[in-house]
Amino acid sequence: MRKLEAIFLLLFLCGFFGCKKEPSTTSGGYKPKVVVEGWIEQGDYPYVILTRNIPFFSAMDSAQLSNFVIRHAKVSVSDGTQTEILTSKRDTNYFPPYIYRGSEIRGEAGKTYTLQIEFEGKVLVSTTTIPPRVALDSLWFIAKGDNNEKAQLFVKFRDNPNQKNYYKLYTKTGSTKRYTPTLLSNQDDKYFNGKELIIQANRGPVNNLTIKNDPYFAKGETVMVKFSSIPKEGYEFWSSFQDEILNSSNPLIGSTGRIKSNIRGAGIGIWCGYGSFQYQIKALP
Amino acid sequence: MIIFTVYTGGIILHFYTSTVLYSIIGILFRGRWLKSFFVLSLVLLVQRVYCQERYILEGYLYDAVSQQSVPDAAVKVNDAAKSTSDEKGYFSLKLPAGEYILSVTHLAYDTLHYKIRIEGNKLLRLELSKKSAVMSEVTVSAKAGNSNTLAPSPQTLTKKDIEKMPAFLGQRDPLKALQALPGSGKGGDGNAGLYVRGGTSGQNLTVFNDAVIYNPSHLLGFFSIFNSSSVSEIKMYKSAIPAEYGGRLSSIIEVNSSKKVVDSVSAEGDVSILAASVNVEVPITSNWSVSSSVRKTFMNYTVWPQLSGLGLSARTFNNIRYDFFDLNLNSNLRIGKSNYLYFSAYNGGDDFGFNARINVNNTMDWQNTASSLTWKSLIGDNVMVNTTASYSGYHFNFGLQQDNFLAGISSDIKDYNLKSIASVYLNKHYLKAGIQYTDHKFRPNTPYITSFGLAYEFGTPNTYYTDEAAVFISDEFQISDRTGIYAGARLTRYRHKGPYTLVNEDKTENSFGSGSVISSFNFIEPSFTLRQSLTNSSSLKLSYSRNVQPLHLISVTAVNFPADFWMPSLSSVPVETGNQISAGYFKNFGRKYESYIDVYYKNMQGLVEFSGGIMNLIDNLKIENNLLFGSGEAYGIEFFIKKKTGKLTGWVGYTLAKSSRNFDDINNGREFPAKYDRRHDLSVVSSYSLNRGWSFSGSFTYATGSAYTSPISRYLISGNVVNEYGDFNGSRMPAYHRMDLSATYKFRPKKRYRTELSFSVYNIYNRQNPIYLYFQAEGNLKEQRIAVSSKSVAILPVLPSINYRLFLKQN
Repeated sequence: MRKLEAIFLLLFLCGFFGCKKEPSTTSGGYKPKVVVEGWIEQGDYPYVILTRNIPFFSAMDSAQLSNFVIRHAKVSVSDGTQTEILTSKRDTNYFPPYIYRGSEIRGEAGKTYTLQIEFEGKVLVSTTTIPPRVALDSLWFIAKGDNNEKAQLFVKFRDNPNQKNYYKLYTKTGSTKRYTPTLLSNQDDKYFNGKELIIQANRGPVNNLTIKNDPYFAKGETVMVKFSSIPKEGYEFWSSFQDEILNSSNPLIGSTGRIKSNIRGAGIGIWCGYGSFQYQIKALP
Repeated sequence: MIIFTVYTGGIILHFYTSTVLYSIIGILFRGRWLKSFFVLSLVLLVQRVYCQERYILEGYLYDAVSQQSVPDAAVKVNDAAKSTSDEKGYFSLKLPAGEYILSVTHLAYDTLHYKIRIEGNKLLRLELSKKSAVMSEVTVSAKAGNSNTLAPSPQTLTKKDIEKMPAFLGQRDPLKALQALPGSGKGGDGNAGLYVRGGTSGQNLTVFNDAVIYNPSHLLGFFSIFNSSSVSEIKMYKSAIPAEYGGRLSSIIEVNSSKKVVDSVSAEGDVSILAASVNVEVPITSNWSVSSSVRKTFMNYTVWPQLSGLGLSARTFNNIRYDFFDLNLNSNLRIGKSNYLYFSAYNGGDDFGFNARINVNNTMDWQNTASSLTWKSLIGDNVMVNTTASYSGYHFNFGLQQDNFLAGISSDIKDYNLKSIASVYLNKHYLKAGIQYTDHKFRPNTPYITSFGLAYEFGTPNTYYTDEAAVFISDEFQISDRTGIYAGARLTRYRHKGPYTLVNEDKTENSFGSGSVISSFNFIEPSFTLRQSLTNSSSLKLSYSRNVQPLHLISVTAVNFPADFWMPSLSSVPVETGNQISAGYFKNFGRKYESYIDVYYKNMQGLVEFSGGIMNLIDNLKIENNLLFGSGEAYGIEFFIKKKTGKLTGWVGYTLAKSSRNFDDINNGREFPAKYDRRHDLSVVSSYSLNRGWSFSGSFTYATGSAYTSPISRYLISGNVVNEYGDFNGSRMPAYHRMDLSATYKFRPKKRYRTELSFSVYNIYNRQNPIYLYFQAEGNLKEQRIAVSSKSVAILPVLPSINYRLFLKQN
């Protein structure tokens, strides 16, 4: 469903239309905010990355980048009965390489978790739930490329007709810690409630710092696949986030500039619960 | 009476005298000699006059502005009806030598009195001034203007003017020419939209032979759908919209094909690297002729393979396919002296496609269909009734496919329209009254997705049935030689009909069946103009109009691409309303120059912005629940001067203007500039005719950059650099400017044909005019470096082209 956006990324950019560097412009109206990216997976501890938004246009180096990480906030997560204060640690698996992490509360399906952040006198609050996870029925690859040297991932699952479901699909290869969303990453079952759906998955770019992207896997490569159930607020955030990341540079679409944050207070971002299944499979068509 | 007739008539004179003779002979034979003597002497007098040598007075009548023939005009000599002009504006009379006052009257024109002395055969060329000169109207028509009339005809662009403008890729475009006039602001490259006097591109009503055209653009807006060879006239009303039109706030663009019944076969054709077009006119009988024109691009053979050859295929997409076509068919039939039947059909479409890198086939296609049947009936000397039945259709489709995954969105409009206007000419009044009924069916966003045979469920597509019933009346009244007024009003009843499901605020639903009325309202659109001649060459014009638009063009893309869709007013979607006042001073300097200064102010309510983007439409969301409403204000001053004669001709138009918007939910209710708010807008068009063969033309345009929303800060989420945006439309693109040049060589005309070759260069100094700006982050997170740069998308670099035209004529 969201594939359209993804594909639009590739359209018209710098191809048919020429690209040219423009002199930088500055614009007023900047307001400092806390940027939150937090998650709690079923069976895992809560994680939160805190940064600031910054008005930058030119190049930034590592020293400047480290300045916008918020390392000394009070971050707590509650499951309604138990509250835990997360601790900040350096972790080079993430960028920026600092993360707040819990060690007591583990995510359980159906439970609601409240995140509270206190920083420089401000309080930010958000809640999320972990929806029941849904397993994939099957995963397979189909040969692609001029010499069939590549493989495209396909997954199949059946939606529960009695449940409202939102899904998100990720892949990763090699030793990277974080999963990367596929191009067709977010799904809303309102279009296929109770039915069996096959997704032809295009591998997504790791981030929007590069437009280089191969939608296929190398033949024989080991691929990790994560299939997550996400709550409504997670679907709304990630869909609008994807719109912005993929389409704001596309003149056919443009930016709506409306990322649906679920953080209350002087902040933006996402606090989201995930119910996931992970699979390891060799890319052999 | 009879004798008077004898004095001034032609063929009719013979009939009358004969009748008189027979009756007199009858009287004589009844023996009433004395009483009849006097009558007989009259007859002798008649015979004597009849025997005088008579000369042929013939002439052609032309519209003073458009220089088109004026048919159906009554030509009288010394106030007795004698002749009527034919389709070519031709009339002839036989007159004895002497001095006469020739009067030419026509419904639509000021009566012309012409003093003439007949001493031999004479051929006249007479120009009539339109009464509607009281209206503010731009006419683009078939022949050169040579106005020397008292009535101001301020904004005139002739087809010759268009021909003098450098053509874009060899294609002359009448609608694009309108953009070079003050006040009809341009959108920029790839944008066919007109932003008239600070309005939006959806506030213009474009009608082709009385059928509405919803998206008059081709090739992502580079061309209009109007093939210049099939168009004889374009009129644009940008203030005081006449009462026979309504439903739009900014302007009416009336495009007509030729209504002439031709008497000989003619053909015209041209070829460029982009397209070829042919226009043929054929007489079937002396009262019936048909014409057809075809324009077809062949870029899939000429342009795109070349681009692929340049290595573009290595980029993110390849195999571009893009072509468009236009098909026009017209039939003009004359029935007797005073009835005409015109049929017009248009079909045109664009077909665009390309393959993205990951084996995704993208398509975008759209089609306009318009057909109309008009019956024109002349009743007596001073009444004309025009009745038109028309159909308009618009279809847009955007789709993409990767193997067994297919997704897309389509949009459709169907209109049926019936309109009847009676025009009555009464001495100093020109009255118009009529009725109109339009039935609309809108289906703005119908999404579809099929994944491996599973069709996603989107439910019933959003469909809206509405209709409009209107009555209108207007009068153009010549109060004195120097003062004229126009007053008109249009009353419309608008209804939104079922089937429709209304979702109430408490989330309960009301279902309405087919034909039932969900909401309805009435509105009045008044229009008023006062024209005051100051001197023989200058005049002042004041106008006011209030318009109501029960239809919104909702922009879903960053640029004006055809995916923008039309949405009718519903109970939850109010109408757009606008008030405009303008004051203009018009002055001609001899026969060479005409000029004007026009000041306007307008306000608008009920303007809409869509709170999402095109991607949200694919969710089949209810559009009416995702609109933001606001108001707008625009004012400006327009300057125009045109040199009409001589080797060097052309015009300069400049507009100083401001257009702002106010939406409660945008920028926290603070005022912001409209996207195409152009503080300065300058157009210079000139043409130089060197000799019989060579002519050169050039144009230059400059406009303040359009407004856009720029990011003010950035943040990182999951390794992506995300923009945070500042004030809506808070930043400005670089100014738009461009120069085009062309040279045309006309080969010596042959007996049956003539040809010409033109070279033109678009954007000669290769200005990169951005249509879109965005900010791109690049870098490497592992190395902890990120750079953000602003990028612009410019689409039209310097573009040379060559074009060959051929004109054929029977005889």
